[in-house]
Amino acid sequence: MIKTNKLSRVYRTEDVETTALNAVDIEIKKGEFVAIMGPSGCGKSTLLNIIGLLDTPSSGEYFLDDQAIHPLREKQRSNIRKENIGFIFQSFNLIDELTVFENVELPLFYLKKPKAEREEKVNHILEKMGIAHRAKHYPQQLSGGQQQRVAVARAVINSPKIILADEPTGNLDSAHGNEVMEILTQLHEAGSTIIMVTHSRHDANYAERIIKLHDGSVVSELESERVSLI
Amino acid sequence: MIISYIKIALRHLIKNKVYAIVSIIGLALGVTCCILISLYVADELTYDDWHKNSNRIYRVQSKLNLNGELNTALASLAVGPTLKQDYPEVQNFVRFLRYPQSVEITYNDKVYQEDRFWFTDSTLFDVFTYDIIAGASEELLKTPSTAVINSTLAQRLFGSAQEAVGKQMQINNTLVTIQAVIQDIPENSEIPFKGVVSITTLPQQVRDNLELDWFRVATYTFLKFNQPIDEGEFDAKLDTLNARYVEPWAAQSGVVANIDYSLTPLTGLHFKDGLDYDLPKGNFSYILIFGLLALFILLIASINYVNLSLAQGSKRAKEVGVRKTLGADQKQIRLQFLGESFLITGLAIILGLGLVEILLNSFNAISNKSFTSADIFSINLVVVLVGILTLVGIIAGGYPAFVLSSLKPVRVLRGSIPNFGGVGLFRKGLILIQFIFSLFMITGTMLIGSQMDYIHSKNLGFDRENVISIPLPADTSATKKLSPIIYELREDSRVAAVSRTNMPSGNSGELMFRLEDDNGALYEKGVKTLFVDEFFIEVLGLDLIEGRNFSREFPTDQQQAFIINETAARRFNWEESPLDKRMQWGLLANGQAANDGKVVGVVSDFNFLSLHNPLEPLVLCYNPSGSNTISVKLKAGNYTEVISDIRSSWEEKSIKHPFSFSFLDDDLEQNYTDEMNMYSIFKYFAFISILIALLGLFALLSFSVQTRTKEIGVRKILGASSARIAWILVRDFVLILVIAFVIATPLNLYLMDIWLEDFAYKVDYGIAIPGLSLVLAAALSILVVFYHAFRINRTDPAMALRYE
Repeated sequence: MIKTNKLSRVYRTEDVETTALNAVDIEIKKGEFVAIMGPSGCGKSTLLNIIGLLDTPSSGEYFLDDQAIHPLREKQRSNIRKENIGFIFQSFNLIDELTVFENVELPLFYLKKPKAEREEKVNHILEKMGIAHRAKHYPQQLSGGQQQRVAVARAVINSPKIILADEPTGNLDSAHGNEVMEILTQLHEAGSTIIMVTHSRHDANYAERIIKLHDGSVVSELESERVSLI
Repeated sequence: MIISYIKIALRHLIKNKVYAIVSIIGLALGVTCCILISLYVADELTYDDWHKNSNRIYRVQSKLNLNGELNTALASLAVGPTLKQDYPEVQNFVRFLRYPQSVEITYNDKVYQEDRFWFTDSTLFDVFTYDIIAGASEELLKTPSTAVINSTLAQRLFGSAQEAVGKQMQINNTLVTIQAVIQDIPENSEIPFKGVVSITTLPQQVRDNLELDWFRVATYTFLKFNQPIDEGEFDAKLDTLNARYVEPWAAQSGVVANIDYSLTPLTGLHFKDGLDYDLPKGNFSYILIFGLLALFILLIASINYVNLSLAQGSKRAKEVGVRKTLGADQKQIRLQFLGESFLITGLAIILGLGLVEILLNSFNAISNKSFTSADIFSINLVVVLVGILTLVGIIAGGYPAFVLSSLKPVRVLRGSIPNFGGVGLFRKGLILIQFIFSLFMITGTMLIGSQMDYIHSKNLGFDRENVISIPLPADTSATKKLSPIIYELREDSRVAAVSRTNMPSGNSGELMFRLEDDNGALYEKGVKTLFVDEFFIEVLGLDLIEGRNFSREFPTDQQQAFIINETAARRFNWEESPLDKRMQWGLLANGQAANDGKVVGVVSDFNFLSLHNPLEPLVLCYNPSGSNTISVKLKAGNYTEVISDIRSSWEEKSIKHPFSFSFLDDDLEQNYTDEMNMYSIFKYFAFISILIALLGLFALLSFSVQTRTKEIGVRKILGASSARIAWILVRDFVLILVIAFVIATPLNLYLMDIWLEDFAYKVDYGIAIPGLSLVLAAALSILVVFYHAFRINRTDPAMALRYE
């Protein structure tokens, strides 16, 4: 489903040139749960952003469902992103001025879905995530774990083909963190393709495969311990 | 969708109160100024436009060439009827002859002082359009002693308009019958009369004299044409009027003279300046100035809004990144932020309207208008408001919307938030504009104020303090009863002098004289004249430089004695020996005159005209009991006592006429109402603009502090003092203030010079005033800075770092 070919990303400022990704080749099949690991600054978030159509590569190719993404314009990428990809961030990135309901509703809002449909879907997902009772509250009123659940709800509400998670448990304590990982596992079992960036070995083992990056290059691709143990 | 955006916009405002309040208040102030000025400008530009025939009504003015030029707004009595008779395109005419000063109306034994009364023709209602609310609508003002009054007067005297019809009232010494009552005439009219009396009321002989003499320009004459004309074309016919009637008549009297007539359309009258004996005119340059000022204030308020929105940008950037990630495209982001700016502008407009309601009375006082709440909701104003909403909403809101919508989501989400708290060149430019304008307003206000002070304190060459003027009734029998008062006052030790003369208060009539030239022959010249008694010089404290004062001991003084001022002596070439030079007035044919005499004295120069004018030649004629004003010079001390004594004495004489008085000082003030109003308006504008600029500075510094919290925290830890940190935050703004000063000052001084050209007497200002305003602006700005410095001082550095 996702295929990159010599993907590179170079950041240039006035004096300094940083190579975040260096000719990366990866392939992720539909329905896979993949973790991307590596030390700080290794380029994993950059890779995730490019996969998620949030960023453009400096060189190389990126194919999503056999469609070449790298030559597309922002507007086209935005459309593909809207319909196919859901994001979960480390710092939740909820909008403080919106209620839980409104936050989760946003993707559908931008897809111009009618009000009735939006309401139905949002209420459904809030139930599923166990935060329906907080629908009218604002993010500041929720705990970290609850906020992340809202973020997850938001990420999956339009049933995206791919879910990208960037350090989803980074700001959570272990109990809540595990909760979130359980949710991701459930989503995976229901058929979603999940790509997760993490530097927690523990979290990475929820995935099927672990890709390790170092200094912008892939150094290994292994099955995770979970899989190995089966 | 829109509702969702509005909801979010509102929540955002509530969450960021400082931003919201400063933006909304600033814009509201700008809106208020725009609304008030729009009312004023609309009023000034629509004088007399409600008359049905307004596009074909013209006023005749006369430029008399009779030993010197006199360019007046008047025409003689014969002009109207003659033009109608000679030229078919002149459908009708109407003349207005003014009642001298105010009139006394007596009804039911009560006496009322009123002004704005005129004699006029029965053609009035054919030419002009008035709303008749009671009484007949035909055959008005044809017969002598008939009158039409306005609704307010009718109510005051008779209780209602209906009651007034058919009643008789006494105007000065004449009994008139009220034929009809009209709705009050709007103030924005050339002649907003309160009452008119048929011109046939004047004795036939008076009318005949006025009609015969083409040079007795006594009326404002209006012509109604059967269709709008080309004034240039009709000029030729006006020249014919002169050639056919005026010149021959002059020749008959042995004089070579002519009159150059011209027309001004009714709708162009209000700004037509420069004629003598004209009605109060509007000042077109004031309209331009105020209009520009209002727009500028709106501009600087909008600048504040833009600056603040951008400063807010850092906070909103993350939100924009998230929304874009979730699928929003640029257009949707822009719509969202434009929606917010429309909301803020809308709220500002509502607040602005509220402020206008509150300020309306004060504004009326300053601008000499009488606007009501109803005026606020007129069509013109709605258009203005929609215009403001659109302009400010789109332009001011557009820039931040544009900037924010082009943010790249990934940059933002990774934490690389563009630092809007920092102040780039563009934003500094905006602040510069604000400060230039504020400095300009402050300096302008101070300069006008100093000229006003100068005028108030300038030595006019006569004693203007402690002089009161008491108007006497027009009714001669009442005046007779009052004359003992003059003698009582002369005996009173608290009184320095009493004169039965109108005190000069800025205007002066002109008479046609014949004067002796170097060869002893006589030539004609108009000279400003005052009719005074023998105590005039004493009351005003003038110096008699040569010769003698008028005196009762010389019975011929009334017709044959003249006192001139120094300027007259110089101007007439009489400096060497002015006494005994021959003068005549009340000129008749063949070198004869009703009053033929010579100069008996020369008095020191004094400013009998307003300080807009330089000194002119002046003749004093002796008229010991003709004036209808008693002028009293009081000795320094408790005036209230003396005045109340005079009042009691007056009331004892039991006449119907109420006692009133005014201080000469206050009367003189009347000459400068225009400037005083301008001064007041400038003061308000200056206050508002500096307020807006300071609000903006305050808010920007707040945001600067906020965004640089980490930097400030680190610096503090490293040992920087609060003063040092405050200086770092502020040094950019200081530079801006200095540059603003450098730009604003020459502009100020240049414009000030132009404004002062209107005055013959100008204050001598130096660099002191601009310097003072710089100090003032700097001081206020420093206050704002201190506030922030103080807060920085209180903050724990660790708190700052924790923010991260």
